[in-house]
Amino acid sequence: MSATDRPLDSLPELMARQASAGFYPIGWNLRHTPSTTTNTAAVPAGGNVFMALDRDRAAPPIGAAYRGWVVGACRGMSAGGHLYLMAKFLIGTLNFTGGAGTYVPNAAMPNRYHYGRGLAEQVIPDFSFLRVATTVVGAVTPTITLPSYTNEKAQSGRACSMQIPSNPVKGSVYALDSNLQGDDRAITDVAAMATSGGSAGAIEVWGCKEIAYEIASTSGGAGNTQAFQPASLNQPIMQPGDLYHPIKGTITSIGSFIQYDLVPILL
Amino acid sequence: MTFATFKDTVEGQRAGRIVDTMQGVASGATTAAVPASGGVTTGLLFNNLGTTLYSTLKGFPKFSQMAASRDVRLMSLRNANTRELSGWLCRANLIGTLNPNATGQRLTHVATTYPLKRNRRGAARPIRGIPYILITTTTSTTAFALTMDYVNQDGTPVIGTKTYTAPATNAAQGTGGWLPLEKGDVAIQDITALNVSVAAAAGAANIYLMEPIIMASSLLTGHTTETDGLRGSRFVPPSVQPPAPTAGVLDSELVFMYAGGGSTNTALATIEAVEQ
Repeated sequence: MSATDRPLDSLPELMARQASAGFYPIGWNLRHTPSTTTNTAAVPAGGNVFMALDRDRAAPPIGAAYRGWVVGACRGMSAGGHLYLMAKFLIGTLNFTGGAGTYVPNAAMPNRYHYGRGLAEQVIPDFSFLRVATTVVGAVTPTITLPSYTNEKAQSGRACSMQIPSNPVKGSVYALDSNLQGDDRAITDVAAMATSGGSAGAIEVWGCKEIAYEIASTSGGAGNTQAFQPASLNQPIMQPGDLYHPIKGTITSIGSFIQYDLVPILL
Repeated sequence: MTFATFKDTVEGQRAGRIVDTMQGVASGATTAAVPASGGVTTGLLFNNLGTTLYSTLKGFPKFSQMAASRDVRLMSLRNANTRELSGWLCRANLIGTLNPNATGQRLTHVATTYPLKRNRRGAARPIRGIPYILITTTTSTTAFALTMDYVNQDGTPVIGTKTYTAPATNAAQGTGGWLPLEKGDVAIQDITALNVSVAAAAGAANIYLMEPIIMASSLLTGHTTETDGLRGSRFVPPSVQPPAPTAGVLDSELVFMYAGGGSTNTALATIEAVEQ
């Protein structure tokens, strides 16, 4: 591993960095919207169901002496379930326009420096999600097909499909990972995407890197549980404008809070 | 790249990382153990995705049916349960099914050829595991009893003499149990027969070779337990891909095995692994 800036390696180093360069605290009060709707559960052919929190947070601008941001620590509070902080990258959008729909590509997973590594490498997602950006209309358990995607080994022309529930509501998230071709672990780009039906709505393909994670679990009561965890050492160094997004491993609309500290990484 | 140092592990995580979740399905109330059933109340916890209790049983989705040839190592595990219990992340390798509704040999072994193998010390070697019974259809009228013929940890065939008795006449589906071994044996490589001496009027069970991977106990209801694969395994990060059968296709799921109360239980977990 190259001798790059690694302030997360120890508490003294982290404190020294925070003393010299400060840190950027971000706190969100989050609630899935529309709050009265329960996200649509996954059909068995799909992935585990998740919920997006309807809000991105962009990494802020940073001075010229720094390469970018990493998350130093993350705290979450929720009434139950998995709570992830993800680095989120939009790969493309499928618009439901009748028939197979219209796919609009955005960008392949970008190259970023990663914590502790001295060269820019493609960010490989931990999760490849389908996220409902606009509630879908007129789709009865549609099958979403990706006839041409690129996997984590830069192999293009891979294909997969996944059935999702009828007319999923905005914010519903489904994990494609168990449905990828062969032993593929992730999607790094999508060249084509289609649906078997639906007259309106939109679904995005997200490549997400898990930055921090905790289970906010209760014993069945309604109390909130605060959870704290250090962020993963396996982080891309985020550029200004790169997006963070919390993902929940439940489908019920509930209030959540997440706070995390951004730490600058030197060139 | 074989992970030899912490640096290797961190570098390997960039491209080879696998993160998977279990959003568990409630087990339903199970039947507590009695001395004749082994004295330990136990069960298995499955993922909600793809599971229809207790006919279709699925674990962590990304690790279901993963190729045995892949070398995937556990880095960390966080889990929470709705009950306090001792638990393990396990490979549940299906040996067959039991129909205890008549006397005689009542195991239907799957077509998969055992022993199962993993690369250990430079060669493919048979694995050892816990013989496990999971009742999939509630029994009735009579608590069935059986003895087990098996291949022990050394590959030696054994005719069993110790009796397992179901914990109740109406042992609930989801009730688990560890089948007894002969004195001096510690594990199995396979089960060759389940000889029912006392039959039930109804019921069915799956029979597994359970392969514990790492401890994942829930020490406090509703609170998260974290297990570190680098230090918690003591030697090297443990493998989480399935073992390889001698022949055929193996039904193997990554699940939780617990020892604790018989009340309904649900698992929440995230696993982080890295492919070497």
